[in-house]
Amino acid sequence: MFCRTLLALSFLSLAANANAAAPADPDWPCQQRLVPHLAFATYWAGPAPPAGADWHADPHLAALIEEISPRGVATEDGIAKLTAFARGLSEAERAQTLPLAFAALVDQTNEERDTVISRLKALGARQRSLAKRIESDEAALQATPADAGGDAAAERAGIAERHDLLVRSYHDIGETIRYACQVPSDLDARLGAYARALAGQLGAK
Amino acid sequence: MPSQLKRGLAALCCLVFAAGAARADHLYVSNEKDNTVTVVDAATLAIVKTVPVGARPRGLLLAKDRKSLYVCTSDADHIEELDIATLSVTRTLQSGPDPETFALSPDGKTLYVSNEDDNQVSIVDIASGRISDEIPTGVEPEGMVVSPDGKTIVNTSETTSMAHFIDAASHKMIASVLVGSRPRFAAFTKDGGQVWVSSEVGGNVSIIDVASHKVIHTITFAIPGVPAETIQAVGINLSPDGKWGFVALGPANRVAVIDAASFAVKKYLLVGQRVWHMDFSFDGKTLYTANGVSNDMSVIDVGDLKVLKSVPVGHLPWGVVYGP
Repeated sequence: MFCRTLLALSFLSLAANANAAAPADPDWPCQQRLVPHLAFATYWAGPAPPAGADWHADPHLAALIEEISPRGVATEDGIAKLTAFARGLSEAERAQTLPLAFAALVDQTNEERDTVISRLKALGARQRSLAKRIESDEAALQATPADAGGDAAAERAGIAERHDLLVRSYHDIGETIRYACQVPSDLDARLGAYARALAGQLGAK
Repeated sequence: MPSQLKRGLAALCCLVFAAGAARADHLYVSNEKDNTVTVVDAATLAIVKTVPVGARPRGLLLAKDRKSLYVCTSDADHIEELDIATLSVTRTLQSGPDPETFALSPDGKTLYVSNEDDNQVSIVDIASGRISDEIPTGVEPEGMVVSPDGKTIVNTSETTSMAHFIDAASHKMIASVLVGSRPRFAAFTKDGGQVWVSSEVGGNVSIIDVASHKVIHTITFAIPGVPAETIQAVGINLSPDGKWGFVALGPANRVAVIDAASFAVKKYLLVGQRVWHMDFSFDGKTLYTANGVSNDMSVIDVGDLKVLKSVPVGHLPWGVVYGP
């Protein structure tokens, strides 16, 4: 029982630590602070896109953005396509189009991230609910002596079985969260790499 | 030219080259995810070696004699000493649990280590490699710094949002000063008159007057178009000439340049992603930053306040130290 209690408390503590990083949203389960939206200026110190420009209006640019924005696209592949695209433009075209391309990539990356963040928050909420149920079962197990007989023993066995299932479930979801928490960071890293690749092409001859 | 003279000149060249190579400085970057320290030649910015170290290396400090580097290997629960001549780990020192940041006494004999998990500062005698005392401090201790005269230790605690001033001789708490939310790092000015404390969640820097233990100014940051929640103040480095303060702003991907006299923000420099900790070259002319998400190190010209270059290192770089 003692081991179970320790186990449950350690899970609860982990949840509390994770949430301490982002007190504004108790369902955010990742260690890093939640950044709901990535912003153009966080990555880009160059010229802004032309006012009112819409990247969808340029079919070549739109096709490129749609191609390299999905989560599964490797950073190197995306950079290679961006670089090839930029090299096909004149210097004047690059000055207009590359900031717009980056603005488009920020929008598309935010869409990808929104999906992941929603899923992570749902998992975080599930973990919090599980942690409460584990805590409740811990209390019930502690209230019933381990050597109790009759109905109390049967009830205690039932609680213990449920408790073990809940702990296993908590552990499994925790593993998923650990993996999934890396996704927003990976998208952030790729967006930064795209920004540096485009900025490098701005002054290229 | 006589062949003997040619051989003599060749030998001289070799000696000069060898002496030059021996004198070359290096950057040491802790890679939190790879469990390595990347060693970069400061002149060529080429990677010289990637040294395997214990689990989750974060804080780095150069020994006073500059012959070794201390590495907080957080998940290994100890400090490792990396010999600079051989670029290998030669011994481990006790640290208390989960060491992340630490500070070196000016005499080079003592390390002060913050132990986030048990709310203590461990005092480590470097000669024996053992903990000689533990000081209870605030909840989740983080930043550590020692005054230039070695008489005062400052430790920041994340949960209580305080900077704790501790007497280095008696190990007693002298004062606790409320600063911004989740303080991460502290730095003394060269004259010991001020302590600058960065706050990650607060996104600001508190300037504490050491004599009165009062916050005399709070530096805030605002970058057009950059969301406030990404402006997370972490590393602080004050230029050796006392003119500038440089503050790493984490996921805002900027280093803020502060006029140390007026505390005004002069400039924001765009560097790599999630800029965390920094260090100056010995001459103070160059600043290097460890960027955790872009897995690189940015090189900043301090005179021109310009970012010169990005150098790829390992995964999740946490800190950087300039050394021989």
